[in-house]
Amino acid sequence: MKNLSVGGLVVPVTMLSFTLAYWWQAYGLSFEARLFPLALSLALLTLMAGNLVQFLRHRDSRQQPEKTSRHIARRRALVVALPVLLLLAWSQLGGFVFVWLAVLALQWALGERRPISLAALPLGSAVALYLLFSTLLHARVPMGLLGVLVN
Amino acid sequence: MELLNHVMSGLEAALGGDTILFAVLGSALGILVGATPGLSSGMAVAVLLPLTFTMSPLSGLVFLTSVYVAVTYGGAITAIMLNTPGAPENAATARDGYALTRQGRSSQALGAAIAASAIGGTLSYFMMLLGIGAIASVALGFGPTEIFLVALCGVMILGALGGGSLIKVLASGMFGLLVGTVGMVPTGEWRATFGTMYLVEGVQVVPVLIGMFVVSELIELASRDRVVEMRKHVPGDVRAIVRGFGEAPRRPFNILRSTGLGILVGLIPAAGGTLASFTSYSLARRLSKQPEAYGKGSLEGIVASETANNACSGGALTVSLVLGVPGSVATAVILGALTMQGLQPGPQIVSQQPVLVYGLICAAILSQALMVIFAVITGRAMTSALAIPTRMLIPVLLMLSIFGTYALRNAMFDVWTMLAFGVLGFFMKRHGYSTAAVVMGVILAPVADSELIRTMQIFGNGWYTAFFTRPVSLLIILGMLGCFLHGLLKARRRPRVVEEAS
Repeated sequence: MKNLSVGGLVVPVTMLSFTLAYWWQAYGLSFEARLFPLALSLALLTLMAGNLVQFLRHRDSRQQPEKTSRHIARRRALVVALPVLLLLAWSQLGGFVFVWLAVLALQWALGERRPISLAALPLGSAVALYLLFSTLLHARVPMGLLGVLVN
Repeated sequence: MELLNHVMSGLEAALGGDTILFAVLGSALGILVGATPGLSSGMAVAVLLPLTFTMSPLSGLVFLTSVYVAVTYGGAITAIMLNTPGAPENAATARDGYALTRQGRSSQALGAAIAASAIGGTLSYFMMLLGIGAIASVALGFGPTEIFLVALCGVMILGALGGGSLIKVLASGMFGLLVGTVGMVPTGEWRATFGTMYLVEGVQVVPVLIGMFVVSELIELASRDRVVEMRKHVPGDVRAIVRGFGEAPRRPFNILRSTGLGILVGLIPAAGGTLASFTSYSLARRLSKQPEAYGKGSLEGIVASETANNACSGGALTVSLVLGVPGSVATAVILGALTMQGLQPGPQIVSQQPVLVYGLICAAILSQALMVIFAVITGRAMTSALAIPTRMLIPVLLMLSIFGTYALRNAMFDVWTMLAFGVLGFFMKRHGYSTAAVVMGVILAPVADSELIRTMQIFGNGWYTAFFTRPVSLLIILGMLGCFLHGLLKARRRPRVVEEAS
């Protein structure tokens, strides 16, 4: 079990959890509606069992990904965590302010310290994306704080 | 005569007002994204997909197809200049292309690659123009058993021909298929919707695509400060590139063989340009009078791989439109765009939407000419602009992904889905699973599911025997078994090869 890593467990655990949750929701279906997903679930479980056997026999030990440094892991986590945190306040912030804050936070987290870049890219991205999606693609992007300021 | 009428109406539509503009825009953006290593062709088409939401079906498809065509051209530029393939299908080109750059012959290599790509792509789309009607006629004879099996083929072939572990790729495909079965069943029942209305129509393809292809790549890119570390500055010389064009037509047999091979590989569901490029390269080396020159700067090798990977796009697009089964990852996105526009791919699309189908092919042929112009003008300039810091690239592409996904249905549910698939995709890539197989599965599941239910309804109690009594079905089953066995043998051989190598 020396090669067992938390990252390596994410995919099989997600697949297994999804399959269980799926059948917890879909157990009462008719035969026609049940057959295909049932066959897929059985195939998936068999393949995962095969994968486990292969792992235990250390067949894949040479394909383990390189260990990630704490600094890189932090950068990767921030790329996901920062937008997620800001997305929780999507309606309140509005699309424009969300992009401005998210780009600024991501740039800072990834090591940008030049004032011109920190000022121009967030503002430019916010204006460009807001115009593109609101005006051209007619997406209903919430106004949020910008709406309060304009009114 | 009917074909001529269709071609003329298609040409008229392709040259019409905004369509040609979108072809130009798609080509320019495709070259730019393609020449950016780390951004694959699937990712390029996926990240630009939301821009087509409000376009007409033809304009949207022409835009995405132009991007798809251009990405492979762009990828060759960095493969030759920086030894960093812009997309996996350019990896074979990098071997000889970069060797030529080190010899000071990069312009010749670029010229040969651009001309070979243009010839391969143009011939491939001309073949598509002439052959798509006939292929659709054959496909019209397919019943539900055949369509079900062809849909499953997409996932099986990825497992057999892909580079990773057979078990992990197949598990990825099965997982994708299972995710794709969520939603309303053709029998009228709701299946695994978890009580949310957002899942009644099924898991949307766009958030899965953008999550798996774009967000997962961006998380991976966060480990680097720059996409590419520049090695040296290369001065521009457009005239030398144009002179290099002559290297491709000087090898007519290589061109024709690689084009044929590229189209054939493209017609195999899910096989893709990388397989076409490497197969063509290997074959060219085996048949060459100077096999020892391969890998050390052979123009023959560049011509073989670039012709094949571009010729593959015509075959892949044909099989996607006619069978509804993606021929490659990028055509999976184009297929997603087609269904998003309310159009159903399948054999009937050629007779029901001739202007769209033939317009798309004509626009793809025009894109080849646009590509040559863009590649020559911007080729060298782009290589010096490619040292993009990830601290600028990641925030912008991530915001584009979030807005693009949100714009699909104006629903945050889709954005959360995209981020979840992005994180999962990142772990899948790191541990040898296939994100392409998941996407293929999600796209193909509704087709496979509805065709299986149709089989049960048409053939009654003995429905399962229909798979073995219908000749084409039996042939496909045998083909799938062959693929599976090939994959198993490859998996058994691989550890031995690794042990020997170490």
